Amino acid sequence: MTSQIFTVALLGNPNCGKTSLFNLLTGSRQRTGNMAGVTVTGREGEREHLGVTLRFVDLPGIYSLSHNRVEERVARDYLFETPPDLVLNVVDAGNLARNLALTTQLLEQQLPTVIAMNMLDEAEAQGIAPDCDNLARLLDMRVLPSDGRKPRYLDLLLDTLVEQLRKKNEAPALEIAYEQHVEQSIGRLTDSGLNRWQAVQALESAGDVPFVLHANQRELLHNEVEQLESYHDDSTAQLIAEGRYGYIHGLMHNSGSDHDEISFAEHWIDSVVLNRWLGLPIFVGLLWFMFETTFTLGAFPADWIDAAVAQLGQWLAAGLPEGLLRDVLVDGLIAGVGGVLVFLPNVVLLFTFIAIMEQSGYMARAAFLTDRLMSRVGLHGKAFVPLVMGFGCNVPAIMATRTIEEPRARLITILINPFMSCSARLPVYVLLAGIFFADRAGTVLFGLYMLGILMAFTVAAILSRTIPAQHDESFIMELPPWRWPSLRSLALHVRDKAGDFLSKIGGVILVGSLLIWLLQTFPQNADQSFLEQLGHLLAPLFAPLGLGWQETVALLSGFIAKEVIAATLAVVYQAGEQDMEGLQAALLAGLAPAAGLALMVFTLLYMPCLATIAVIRRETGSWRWAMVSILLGLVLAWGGAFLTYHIASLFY
Amino acid sequence: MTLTDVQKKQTCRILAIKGPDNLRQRLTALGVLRGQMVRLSASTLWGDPRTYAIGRQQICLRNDDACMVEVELCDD
Repeated sequence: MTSQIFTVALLGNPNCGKTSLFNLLTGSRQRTGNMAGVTVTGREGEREHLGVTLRFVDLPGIYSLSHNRVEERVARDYLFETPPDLVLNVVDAGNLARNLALTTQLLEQQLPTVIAMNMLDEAEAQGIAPDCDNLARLLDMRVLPSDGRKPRYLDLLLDTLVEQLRKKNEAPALEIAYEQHVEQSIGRLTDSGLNRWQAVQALESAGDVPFVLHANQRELLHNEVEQLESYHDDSTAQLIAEGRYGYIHGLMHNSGSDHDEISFAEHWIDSVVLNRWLGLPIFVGLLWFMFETTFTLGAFPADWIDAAVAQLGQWLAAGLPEGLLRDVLVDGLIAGVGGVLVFLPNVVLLFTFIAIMEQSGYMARAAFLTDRLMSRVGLHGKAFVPLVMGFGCNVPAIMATRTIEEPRARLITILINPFMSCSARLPVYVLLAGIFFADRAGTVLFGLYMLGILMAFTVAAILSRTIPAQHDESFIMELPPWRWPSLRSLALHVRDKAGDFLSKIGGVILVGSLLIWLLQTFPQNADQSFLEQLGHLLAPLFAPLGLGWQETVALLSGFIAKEVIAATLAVVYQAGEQDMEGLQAALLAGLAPAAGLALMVFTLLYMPCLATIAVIRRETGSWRWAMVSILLGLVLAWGGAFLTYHIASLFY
Repeated sequence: MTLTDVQKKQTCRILAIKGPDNLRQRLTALGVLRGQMVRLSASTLWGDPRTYAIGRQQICLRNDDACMVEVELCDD
């Protein structure tokens, strides 16, 4: 016997604990599903209960079923086009009025809905916990307590879901009494053939609705909106919202929770963390701590992984007969896999920190603190953290841009991220600055980082003026209440990100490093490998920058990972990797200081490494932006290195 | 006066929300409506953006947007 399958959609305001509840409901059996043709992703997961299969769909967090934001559209269109068997409306007990506004929209649309009253313990602590039974009676629907952190209410919730799914729910649609002019407009629109909820939604979103409006209805609607706005100072959306809140306040008054609206929710932590003078220093301190921990603590497991991979390579090398197969496995495959794995500790640590910042509510505050700086170049506060992370490694940093909701701001942040000089570029600077500018190495390093930042901001300013703006770019953001992150959600989140990193990014790096290995190795028994031949071929392009074919080869190999540049320089200058002095002498003899500086500038700016390109392709969803990033980097690097070489030549 | 004029420790009431449609709709969706009480809760070094406690939520607004919200001082 096949069990019945029911779809249950989770819907609620942002920060209401919806995703934690979804994780609890579905456990680990979930996957990311792309919602019809947009970049907003929803998650799906299943659970068996009382002999039926419940398929849970986690819709994006929204405040209203309106049309202003991508997430709102996604949720609204989903509910209209593929109505789920049941909507599980997750409501934050600490901010009941606003959360119920969305509920009233669901009930007007006559969608079968069960309320999950979340964050009850928080509301209790503030003395504003609503009475679920009372509310259920007044709304004529099931209202159940829920908790995404602990399974204590889970069974009751699941039982109720199944019970509601099994019985045909014929509850009448909710009718809110709106202001009289609005009611007259609704009356005329329903006379033209619309349902009441359709009339309300059409008025609320000025005709931008998922259902079909005939030409006469559209014209009628246009007239109604115009008339309403001439009677009142407010927009139609405001008039309808006032009606909703009027209804909700009445409801809360009757259920004895109306003290909700007068109290302010401010927290003592905010008076410290958002203090006008302390806010930024605290943020910078936290960033430094996160950065330092990620890359120092992450270095230990990274070293272990490195050693383990090397060990494995040695075993294989010892166990296999000498030949091409051994070379492919040891120098190509294992070195490639190792190259992916060493990033893993950093990725895991960084994402743990980000997840803690997100779930505790600090991320929104960080965005608030840095918004002013970022607004100068057309970005907003949320771009700051990913950019700073870029100093560590661009790969997790670009993945971190997922916290930015606006696609355009996110794209710009992704594209400028490679200019934040990652830690892999540091060995190259250290080597070259040590050779050519031994007494001013620190200044040179600082200058390079600053140049990177300057480039990032310049490019952002240009891009924000060229990529067409979307209709909603304003920075209106809710600061979520402070919350302890739940271990369960943290673990799930980090595991997801790490898995994502390994599967999606790993493949590209693997193929790429095999390719470079092939170019380095073939043709065998010849004077020059393909890579060296390529170096000679491309050398004329680099000659204006004062660079020879050796540097060209090094830069080409740096495409896999920028730290390879130093190693390749050692190889092409025929110096053993251990023999630093030999390399230094050879470089000093072969390269002018100005060319050394140009090489550093080129290393800073030129195309992102393979892993970064893979992640750009993944996060933007197209090769187009990855190509833009490569071209942008190459052009800027060439131009920058050219200027550097010629200007520096005047002094050295 | 508008939201941008509100000082710390003052409590105000929202009189009207002006400005472009999508700003109004965004604020409306967040439940920022006429008649609600507002307090300034945090400000950055530059005084822009600022965070306001509106009802049971805290909302960040840039001054460009906040100046569209007209308020009056409540003495109590």
